[in-house]
Amino acid sequence: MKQKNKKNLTKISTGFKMSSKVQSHANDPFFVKKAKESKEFLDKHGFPDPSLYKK
Amino acid sequence: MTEERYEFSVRDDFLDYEFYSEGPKGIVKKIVQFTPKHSLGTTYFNLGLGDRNENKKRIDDRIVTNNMDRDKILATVAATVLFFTERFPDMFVYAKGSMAARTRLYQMGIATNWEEIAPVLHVFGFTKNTWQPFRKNINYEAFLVLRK
Repeated sequence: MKQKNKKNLTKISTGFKMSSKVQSHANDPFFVKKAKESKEFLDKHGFPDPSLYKK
Repeated sequence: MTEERYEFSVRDDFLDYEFYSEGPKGIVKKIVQFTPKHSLGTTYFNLGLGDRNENKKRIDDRIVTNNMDRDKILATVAATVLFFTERFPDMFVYAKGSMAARTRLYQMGIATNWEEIAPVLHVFGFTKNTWQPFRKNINYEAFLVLRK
């Protein structure tokens, strides 16, 4: 995974703050269920044709 | 962004975001979460949006807050997607509401903030059994975005 660091912030990214107080909700049943449903959908329907976005 | 939006807080892994909706119904904590998943050999992230129910200590996206700030919330969610994809530019982000009405809300959010979104994101909508480049005024079943 390519991950940029905090120095590379654009004007779009203003109005935020990094906070160690933000909890992880990765194991929340709602988000787990939503992610499972997304996989079922994409397993069935696939992703957009690369010709639509590759240069 | 085109619309006014809330300031959000982000966890240092860039997967969890929170902000507070403010309006006639009070202050409501909103959570945006990007969940990594794999499908057909591709890693992507599922976008989840919900209200934090402090009594139940869990997320619920079926609550209709009605805080008269829909556009501001949508603009904030759009901002989290732009923020997230800036850090994970090779990853698709998938979004689909829990109900058709919620999916239409995502559609409105994309359309309303299109001026900011279009230059930096490929946006695809799923309709008629295929993924298509996003166009306004079409009802989609789900969305995928990818950084340009």
